Amino acid sequence: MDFLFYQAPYWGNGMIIGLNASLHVFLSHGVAIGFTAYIVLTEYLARRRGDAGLEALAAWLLKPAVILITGAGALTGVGIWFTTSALAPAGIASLLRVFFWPWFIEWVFFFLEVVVILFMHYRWAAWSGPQRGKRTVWGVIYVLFSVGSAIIISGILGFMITPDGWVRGRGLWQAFFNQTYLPQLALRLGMAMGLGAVVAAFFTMLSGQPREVKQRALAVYGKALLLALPVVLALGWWYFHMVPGAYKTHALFSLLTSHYSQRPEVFWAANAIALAVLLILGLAAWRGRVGLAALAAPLALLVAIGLVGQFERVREFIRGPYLMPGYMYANQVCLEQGQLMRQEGMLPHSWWFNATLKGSPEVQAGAFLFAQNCSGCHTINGINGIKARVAGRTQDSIAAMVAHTMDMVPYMPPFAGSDQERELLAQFLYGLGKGLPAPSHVARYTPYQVEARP
Amino acid sequence: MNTLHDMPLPLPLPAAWLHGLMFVTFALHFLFVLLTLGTALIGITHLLRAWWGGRPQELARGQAVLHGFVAHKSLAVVLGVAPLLLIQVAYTLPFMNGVAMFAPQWLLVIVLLIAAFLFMDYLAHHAAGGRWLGTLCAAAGLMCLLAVPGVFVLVLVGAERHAQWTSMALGGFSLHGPLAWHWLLRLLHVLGAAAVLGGAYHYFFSTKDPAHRRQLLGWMVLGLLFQFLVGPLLALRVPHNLDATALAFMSLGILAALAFVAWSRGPASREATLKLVPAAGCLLFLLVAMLLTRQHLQDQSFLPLVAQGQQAAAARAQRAEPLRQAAFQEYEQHLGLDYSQGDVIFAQSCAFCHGEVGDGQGPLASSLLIPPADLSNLKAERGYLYQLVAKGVPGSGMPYFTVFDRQKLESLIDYLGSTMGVTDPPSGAQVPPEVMAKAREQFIQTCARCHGQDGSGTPLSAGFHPQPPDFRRYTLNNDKAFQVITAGYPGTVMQPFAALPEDVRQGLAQVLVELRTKPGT
Repeated sequence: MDFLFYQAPYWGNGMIIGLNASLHVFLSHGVAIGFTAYIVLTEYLARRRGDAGLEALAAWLLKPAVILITGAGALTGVGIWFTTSALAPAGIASLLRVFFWPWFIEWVFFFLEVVVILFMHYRWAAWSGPQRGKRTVWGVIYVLFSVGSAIIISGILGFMITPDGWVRGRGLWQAFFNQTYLPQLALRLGMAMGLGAVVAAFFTMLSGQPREVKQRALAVYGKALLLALPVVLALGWWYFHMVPGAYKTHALFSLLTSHYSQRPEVFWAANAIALAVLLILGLAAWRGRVGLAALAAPLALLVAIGLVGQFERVREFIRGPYLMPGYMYANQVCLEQGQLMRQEGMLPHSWWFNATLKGSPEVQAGAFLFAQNCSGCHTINGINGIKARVAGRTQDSIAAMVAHTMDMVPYMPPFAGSDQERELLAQFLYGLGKGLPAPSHVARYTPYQVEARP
Repeated sequence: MNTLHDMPLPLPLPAAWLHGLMFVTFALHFLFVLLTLGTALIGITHLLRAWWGGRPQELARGQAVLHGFVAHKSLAVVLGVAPLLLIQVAYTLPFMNGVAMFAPQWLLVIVLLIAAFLFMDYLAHHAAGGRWLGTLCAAAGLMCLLAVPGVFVLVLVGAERHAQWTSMALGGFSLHGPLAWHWLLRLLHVLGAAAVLGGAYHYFFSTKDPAHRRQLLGWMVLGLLFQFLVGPLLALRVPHNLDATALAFMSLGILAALAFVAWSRGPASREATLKLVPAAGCLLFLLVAMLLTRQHLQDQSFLPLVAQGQQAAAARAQRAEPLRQAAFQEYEQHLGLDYSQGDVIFAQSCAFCHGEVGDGQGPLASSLLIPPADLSNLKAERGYLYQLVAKGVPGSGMPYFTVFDRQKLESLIDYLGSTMGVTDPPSGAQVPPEVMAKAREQFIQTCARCHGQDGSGTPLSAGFHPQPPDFRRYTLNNDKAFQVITAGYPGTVMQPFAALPEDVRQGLAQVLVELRTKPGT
């Protein structure tokens, strides 16, 4: 293990990656694909119907789209690279070696998206009269580029649950065209259709356009949203049908966590409310009830963000214990190297541990083993904190459980270390569970700044 | 064994192609970074002159310059993705470690960029507003913006010095002394370049006004002179000697810079009518020459580490190769397990302590001070059993299992009931009434102090780790109960009561059943 491993305090590495990425998913699907598509549609309908009000609305809507795309969308997307390189370096570096070309091509699409949206931003007003058709043309070009990004990323994301033949064959096409690729792509495009309608409705309410204009626009967005809902449900069903049962069975837990896992009704109630809010917005918008739509739109926006977060959480969690199934565990240990470390130990294979020994060796080793094996998912004292999870256990039983993590909790990777190292880790964890103070910097750069325990 | 290992997966392209692509994409990205920084520096200077220097004509100049900010920063950000991908593939080992060393600062870059862009956006649109607010936004925006190249330089400084990683680690990953100076000079060198290229961009694309252009030419020339000062200081601090190649690239760049400075003394500059193509050509040539110098110096550090890391990775992969089949088998087996079924959960999550048949003799049972419960000799109410499994038993090795959702735990309890009869009512044994009378009396005298009169425990037992079970809802089969009463329960407060007469102990085992079936007795 030769990447220094930073452990983000309180939030934990996975949560930081996930929160940023989920926000990006909302922006890329809902704004870059969906919202922009509805703006282009609005402008197109305005031109065909000779509707000056809709034309003005489309021009107004372009501004928040540009700000969100070039500001938040681009930055959260780049943020995925930043967070993963700092918080899951071996994982992202491995994925990058497999999918270098898809990601490079996606970057070309990303670049073209930014150029085209800026071009549209600067030239939209000038494209009037005989030039007006250019708005639609360039708008469609933009949407095609952003859909192109989705076409590429879906292959990579699908691989992370169903790598199919790549596990043994290591071919790029095997990896990319996997069994969840098409279902996931279809689902994401369906999501874009629904999310875009919500975003369009939301910004329409803020646009300051006359009530009748809003009504005409909302009629379009409302119908689209109502159509999108069953489509997304159906595509979602198709996607999950293709996910292997061994992963799917943890979907409910991924959302409810240990706090609510015994109360599945919480999940059903929350989603029923979410669906109801979206239905209300869809119906109100469709039937021209501007006042009700104005109330529903901000709620629907929050609900939509929440639903995106829900989907991404399930998808990312259930592939546990793997980061790349058949190749790498969620703690960034490769499968066969993990086998090697069970025989020979992890510490002799760890450059950083050996190069920076300081303080009491037992604390050093235990904290390092925790960092490498466990901290990918567990913080010490924060979210999914290990301290709370080993509290009340005896040291011998902690050692026993560590020997069987993947058996006991199927989404938890096996311990990659020798029996002796397992005892050292158990000692460290038991101390934490008893409330002994964690070494002051153990949440960050163990073991380099660890002080010896008294 | 103590060498740094790279990733075992092969590179997607030959290394030379990767390096070439990286250089080109980085150069494009860096160009727009310099334009972004230059736009900010020059634009804000104009605004500050307008607000505080009593020169109102500077306001329009500032706005003209800042108008380009949105495009520059958008392109800088999007063009930055490709070199980031490429450096993570081509220079994985040094770069990822450099990032990890300064991970908090690295993660902060996104926040800094968002903040910087918001502040600069405000300035671009509201420059005519209040000067105090404007100055605050300018200061904040500039600080956030300049912090970003500061972080990138920091990460690269760390990545380039793998010989010092141990000492850097022990020093808490902060820069001191020579490294700190190197960082500062490198950052200043970037800012100098930003002034030059920013000045050039706006000279040709933001204004036709000769007075404004003369100002911008001043930025270019002063920027170059600043670089002549900072550059040599930086050159003295690079980690490796400047070899012939580096000196050659650097000299080309210096020549281009000198040519530009000389040219800027000519009549075209006074008339503010410099030509775009020669000026851009000269400055871009300068930029490329310096980037080549930089890359060459960086490669002297990166390439040997990358080569060594890849060798080590290949060697370790070879050693792990025989284990690959075992790894695949474990993977395929894991995928075949359906944890929604109670029997699977038991076999995987419970059996290694409780044994395949639930007799408490699992493979790891002997390593535990408190033996796992013998489920085959246990009878409990379903609800109580569910709680034991869901919440665990604090003070013992029995963990909590809310890691499984409700349906799974119900399925597990069903399995325990159907296979081991755990949820069946207790069977009980025939004990003569006079023995039962003695046993009940003994219970109250000896056992109730911890177990309570009704078997539900006492304030005393509430402090035990683990607590005794609630006998109103939980019994052991008579033989097992007799054994525990006689020999105690290892690792717990339940001590051996072998001193009691045997028939009393048998009666006590039946008292347990009575506590469950006839509460209050």
